[in-house]
Amino acid sequence: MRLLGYCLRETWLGIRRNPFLSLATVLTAAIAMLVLSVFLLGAANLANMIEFVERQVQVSIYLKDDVQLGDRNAILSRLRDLEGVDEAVFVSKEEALERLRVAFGDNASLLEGIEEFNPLRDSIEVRVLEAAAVDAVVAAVKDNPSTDDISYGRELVARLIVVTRSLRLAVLGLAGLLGLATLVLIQNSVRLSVFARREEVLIMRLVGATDGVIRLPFVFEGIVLSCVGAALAAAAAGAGYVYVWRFVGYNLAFLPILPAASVMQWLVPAVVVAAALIGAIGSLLALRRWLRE
Amino acid sequence: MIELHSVHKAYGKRIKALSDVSLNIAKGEFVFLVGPSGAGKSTILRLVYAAEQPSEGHVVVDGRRVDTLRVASIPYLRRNLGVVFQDFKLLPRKTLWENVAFALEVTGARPGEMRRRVGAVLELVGLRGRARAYPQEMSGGEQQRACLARAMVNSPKILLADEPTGNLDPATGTGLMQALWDISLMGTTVVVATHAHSIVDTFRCRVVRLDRGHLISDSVGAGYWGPLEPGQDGPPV
Repeated sequence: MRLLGYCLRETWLGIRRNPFLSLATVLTAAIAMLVLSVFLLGAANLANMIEFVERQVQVSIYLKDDVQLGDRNAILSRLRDLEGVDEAVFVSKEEALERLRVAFGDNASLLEGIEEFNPLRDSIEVRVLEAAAVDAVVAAVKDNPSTDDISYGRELVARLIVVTRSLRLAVLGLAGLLGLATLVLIQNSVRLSVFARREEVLIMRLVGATDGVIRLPFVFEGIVLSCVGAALAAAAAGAGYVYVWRFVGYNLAFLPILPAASVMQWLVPAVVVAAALIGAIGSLLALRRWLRE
Repeated sequence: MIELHSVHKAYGKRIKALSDVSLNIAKGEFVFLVGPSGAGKSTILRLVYAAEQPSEGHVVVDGRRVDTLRVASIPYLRRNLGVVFQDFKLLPRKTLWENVAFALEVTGARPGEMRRRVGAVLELVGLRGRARAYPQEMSGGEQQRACLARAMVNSPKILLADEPTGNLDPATGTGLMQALWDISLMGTTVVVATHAHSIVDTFRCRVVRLDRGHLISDSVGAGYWGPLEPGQDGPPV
């Protein structure tokens, strides 16, 4: 406990005694974390757009004319139980004709005469959460005797699956690389701070301070400075995002952009926790050389 | 208290700092390690406080093998050792009191204990009145005594001093050596690495002479050059 008090006191002294170095570390962390925040915001919106597009994928299962209500409900409940299925609804042929009429608008008169012998079929429309779920939906009803035909954009779905997988991998890879770059930047800043206090480290080692006691003030310092930088970065990224969100809301309303409030809820803690981890690891790496002897 | 058994220390293939050095220093002894620069004096001290490991042979300090000590145990060994350097190594942003207390603070001493010990050790080295001075406000002799106080504040069993008078004038150097001598009389083992002839000759105690990593002589009362043997270099005429 006494040692923890000592470590916290030394952390504060370390920051105060090297104000320019501390400021440099905060700014480095802020810039690095700002880049990371902007990237995360972009990635989150990209993921949202992918999800949005995937939700547009719809499977239409056309049923034979003589399907009983019991069989129809059995198919519906089987589909609703499948993983990745958002909703499955029955569309009667009368409903389908009504939709067609709405779609034709002013030209609805063209449909006159076909109402008596409606050529359309009853169907089940299935919306999926992700394109990859389409295969399971098709497999579930393909061999059902009530199924007449299945319609979905097979090629589009296949392409969408490939594109979303590649995009997700690319986002993960880039986030990892950015994290690594941030780590190196912060480690270099902390290394300067350790270098400025190398005599102190040497004396601590000589008088029998354990490695833990030597490390802790630097680790705390790395965490505190990185977190301050991260908070600045999150604030700047948040302010920028609110501006973009408003702009898109007014001018490009069709774009599915994530609301600012919900984004900030996870962005701020994510960036601060990432900065704390990076600060701690960076300090430990920076100290390695001075603790080796 | 300190034992070196057939110790060799090499840096790479070319540089041999110590060759087959065996040495036994008893509890409470006062020993000078003498010899020219590069003789291996500092290497012996560094082996004792585990800043280096021998290439061959082994080192025993206070009954414990230092060369096989786990890294995590080294700080606990060092709490029984005090080290004094030629360049003092005082922290410029701490006062004398803080510099000395630092050694206790980082090992988790209680505040009351710390006050008592720092006060006592500053008294011992004659710097009680300078507790609030910063190193840059102190003379060389005072800084070296401050360094000695920091080394002694843990009441170590062994005190190691590496060229402690190197930056001091002869009179101040002799005063510091007297302080080290007094400390040894209280039961602390004191090992001083130096090449200051006059001081060594003044004290007439055990002198271990080294040259290019070899132990040349180990004698008591024979002064810096020790008992001369045919073929060995002697004091300048």
